[in-house]
Amino acid sequence: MESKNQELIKLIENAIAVSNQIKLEKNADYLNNVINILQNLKTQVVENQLTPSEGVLTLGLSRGVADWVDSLDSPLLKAMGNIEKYYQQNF
Amino acid sequence: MKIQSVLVSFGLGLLGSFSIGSVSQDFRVSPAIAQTAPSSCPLPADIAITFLNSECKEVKLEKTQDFYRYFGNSVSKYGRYLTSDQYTTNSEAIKKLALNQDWGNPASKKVTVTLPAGMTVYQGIAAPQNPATCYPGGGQQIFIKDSRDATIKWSDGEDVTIQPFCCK
Repeated sequence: MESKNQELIKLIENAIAVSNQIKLEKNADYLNNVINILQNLKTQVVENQLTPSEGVLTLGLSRGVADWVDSLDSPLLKAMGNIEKYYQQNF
Repeated sequence: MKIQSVLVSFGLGLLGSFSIGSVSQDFRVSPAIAQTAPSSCPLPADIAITFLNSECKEVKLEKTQDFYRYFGNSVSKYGRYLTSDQYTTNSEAIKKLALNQDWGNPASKKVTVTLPAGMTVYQGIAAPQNPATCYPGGGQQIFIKDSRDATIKWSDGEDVTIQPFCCK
């Protein structure tokens, strides 16, 4: 597997871990959906089926979380942002 | 020629900062500025990336102003993303605002959101989301930092014409 795919998977797994951590505190249903979205994304990366960003396309992760997350300093939003930035810069 | 268009764009931007409507036109008529000017969105990169080319403009509202939000249930009614655009169908709103259906917002209703004078908003164009054939974006996107601000008025919401959203 290409190193950029491995790096993106690491970032996705980190976001899943953050989601699981937050899920213990609140909003379990919503965070279960977030985790499903991230798992599906990971599958696309593993199967090499991710559409190239060409520096413009986004994955909708930051958009999805920034809409409702309590604090804009949330580690979940940071984790999503890291995925988005890496995707735009490398895919 | 390019320099002239950039200068005109900045001029329009300064004029446009006095009203959202004028700023909207600025973004639409000045594609050259998107290619030549570096990202100037003052939001954190994690949020700026939700705007096309990570570009947005900070605008302090000079007067009370109405915006809109497309939602489907009480959970998605309130949020930080608004728009100055009005759409006739849910399908149009989903595409133009890139409302990825995985997140559960069918955009079947529209709420009018009245923001008070003095509030700061961030305006730009909704970035496309994967897959871009389903979520091309391109609509006016407004971001507010605190959707729970008590001075914001949220209307009851009205139904939007439903057009089955098909994404292949």
